[in-house]
Amino acid sequence: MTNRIHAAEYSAVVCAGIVSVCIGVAFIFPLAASFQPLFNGKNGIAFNYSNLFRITAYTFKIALGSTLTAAAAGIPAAFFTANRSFPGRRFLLSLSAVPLCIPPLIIALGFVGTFGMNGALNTILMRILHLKNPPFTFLYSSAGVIIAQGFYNFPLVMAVVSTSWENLPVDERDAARMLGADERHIFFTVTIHQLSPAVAAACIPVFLYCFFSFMIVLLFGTIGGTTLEVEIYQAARTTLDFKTASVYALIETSFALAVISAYSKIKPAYAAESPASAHRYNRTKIGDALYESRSMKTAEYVSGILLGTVIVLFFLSPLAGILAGSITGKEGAYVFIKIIHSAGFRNALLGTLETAPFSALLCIITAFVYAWILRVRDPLGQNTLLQTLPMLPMAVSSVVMGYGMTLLVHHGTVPALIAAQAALAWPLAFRQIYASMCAIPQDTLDTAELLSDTPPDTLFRIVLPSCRESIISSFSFCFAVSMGDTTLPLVLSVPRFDTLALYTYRLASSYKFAASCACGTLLCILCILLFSLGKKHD
Amino acid sequence: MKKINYIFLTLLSIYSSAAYISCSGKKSVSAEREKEVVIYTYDSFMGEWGPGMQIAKDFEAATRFKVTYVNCGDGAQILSKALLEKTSPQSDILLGLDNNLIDKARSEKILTEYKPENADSVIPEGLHEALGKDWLLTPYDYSQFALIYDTQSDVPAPEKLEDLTKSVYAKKIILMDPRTSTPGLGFLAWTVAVFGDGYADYWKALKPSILTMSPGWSAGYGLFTAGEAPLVISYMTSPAYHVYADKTTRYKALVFAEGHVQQVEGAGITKGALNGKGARAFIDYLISDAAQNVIPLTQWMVPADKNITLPDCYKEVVPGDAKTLSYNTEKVSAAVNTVMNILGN
Repeated sequence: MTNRIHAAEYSAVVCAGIVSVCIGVAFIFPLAASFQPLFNGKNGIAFNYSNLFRITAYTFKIALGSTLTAAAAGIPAAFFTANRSFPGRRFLLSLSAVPLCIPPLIIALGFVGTFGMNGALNTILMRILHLKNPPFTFLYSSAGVIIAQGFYNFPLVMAVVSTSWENLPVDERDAARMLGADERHIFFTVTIHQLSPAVAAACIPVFLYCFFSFMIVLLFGTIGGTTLEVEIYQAARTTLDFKTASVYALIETSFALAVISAYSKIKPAYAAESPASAHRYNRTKIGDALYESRSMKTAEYVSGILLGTVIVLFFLSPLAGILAGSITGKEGAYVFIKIIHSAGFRNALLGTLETAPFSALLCIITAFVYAWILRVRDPLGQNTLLQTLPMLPMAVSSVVMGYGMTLLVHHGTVPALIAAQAALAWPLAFRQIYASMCAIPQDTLDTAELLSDTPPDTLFRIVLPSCRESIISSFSFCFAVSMGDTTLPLVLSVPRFDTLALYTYRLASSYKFAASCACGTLLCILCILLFSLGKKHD
Repeated sequence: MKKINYIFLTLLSIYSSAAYISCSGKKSVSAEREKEVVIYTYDSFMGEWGPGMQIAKDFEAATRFKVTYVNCGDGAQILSKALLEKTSPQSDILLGLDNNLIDKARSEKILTEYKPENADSVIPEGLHEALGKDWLLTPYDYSQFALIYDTQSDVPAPEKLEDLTKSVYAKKIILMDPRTSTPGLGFLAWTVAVFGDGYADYWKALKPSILTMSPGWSAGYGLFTAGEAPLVISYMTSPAYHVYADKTTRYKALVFAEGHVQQVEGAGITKGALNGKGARAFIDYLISDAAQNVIPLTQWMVPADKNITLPDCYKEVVPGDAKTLSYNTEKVSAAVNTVMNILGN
């Protein structure tokens, strides 16, 4: 019996290893293929370098502004979700994957419904103040792009920082309190340093998502404005100049890699200070925390209310705008019933369920394998290259990956789609699983290894159960990413296959905007439900 | 030293993979393909509200072929995919290429000429001409581009393109990006056709009137129906949808005396198609009465067959007397960057 268990454990380890290698190949080959046209043809490329600099600078400016906005909302929100109990806390945390699963077109329509020229805010103000023109026109400017992208992505920052904040070691803060430091002093001298790696880890993906953004930048940004992603799109899809597309893809990927490298250079300085010791303390109500002075309690109340208002205004209202967009059509709320009963929706739902769970499963297997390798090979987290490698897929946009896939795969299949999605999304799972793996004390691992019959025993009896929560959570994240992906299913063009995200776009391209918003709302609800299940053990 | 080795190995694997892919060319032929017609098309054609499903069902019933649609996104992506598969074509038909893409398709030699038997009696000369007269593509539908006007707005309806530069239209027009959208490119072609070499000056004057240039038709038209601006570039046939589905004549297509440019969509047989017989049968069927009658209420375009009677919703709001302008596609392609530079500065 014991031998059988050991054999099963070894088989599982081998299978997981093979899966990880396959996912690595599924990433490297399309990436290499996207640079392949650089090796073909004799024609050179006439580049306007000042133009290139202008495009890169604009892309960078928008991405940086959006990331700072997401951090400005996400970090204070993380303080409350990690340290305080309040009504709606779970709901707020369950929104963290929403940015990953709702197509940007639907998000854009949600923002238009709230802040647009004819949006709810302008309509109300014009009626109350008897104005002829809408008072708020900021949506159609760089500020509009930054606000839309910043708030759209703030839950990602909130989720990562909140988890880290919950697990911060309390010893240093307690020591500081005993020595008489007040909460403000403790925050700026202890907490902020402990949180820095988590803040950076949360902001880097947000920066990259915004860096690769396309829809919102073109829709709300400067007229005629362009980004590197648009240039790749134009060259690969419109002018069919694959060589130029490859050059832009190389520039974009190199720039994203440079940002990641800069992050990995900064990271080790703080990482050693945060060996996530899994100490948890009870959450108090807002303003009821121990050690706080009366003025601090008031400040906490005020900032809580202010932050809540900002989140309601800039995040929840646009989400509500999507719902409003779906029920203000001719069919009203009946549109939901009509959509759910349509054959197209059922096919799209089946297609989503055919890919998203498997893609998420491959993601967590690959992430777990790499996290374990890293934990064993680099227990002190000092090998920059090994630490940076899992972030490599984040430096590749889905347009570049899709472009590589188009060059490489001529016959799209569901397994190819699953592999391609997993190859891009596994770093999201890696970050969470690795963090919880780091929280296992080295002594525990050493003891387990000494007392185990075989090496995989430690993995199955100690490591896997310790990472259970992060595995469930990262499964939900990767599920949401796969569910919201529209680029790869289109690029791979799998015959007789559909997904909910594609279906949402198709509705919009057939004049059915209310139905499209309804489908977007259903995607959002599915995602929130999934996350609530994932956080059940929280 | 270890780090250098890792970097070297990673770069080497990426480089060698790229070199391997660039050198290898796969060829795969399936014997079962003889009964299957593989059609590369775009999203809205094959969706459940598009004409694709009905046409495929009727075609399969009328012949022994089985239709497999492959969703490539849009016309440009169909061409892009076909181009990348040029040495080993997987499709039999490319459906959804238009008069802006035909020159590229012709120069890349990815299509085979085929003239359907009844073509002369159903296809008007103008459509045939718009697609190059060589039957690489058979037209199946068309529509002129037009500005769609919201009659409930408080701005007057413009009467010509020049009017759009007036201050009354400041931030009142939604356009689409010509780099990423067909109607966006259509509007640019329209300005080139009307103003000739003076199009650049026109765009300079037009800039203050543009609220946004959306990346695609869906986003732009979505903003328009949300009431963000009273004017949007779309198809002359768009208001017919609102009459039919929303029972409203609120949205009107504006006819300008100077004329309009049009989009003509066609389907062509892929060069080296694995099922040429099936492909020819499908093209024949596509311009038959049965298929052409499906188009008006599903595709919201005018069917290519001149003998088809349009539904009532078209008669109410789609003007049939607008002049059609022709243009040079190469000149329009060159104008894209000029216009984007004007707008970006």
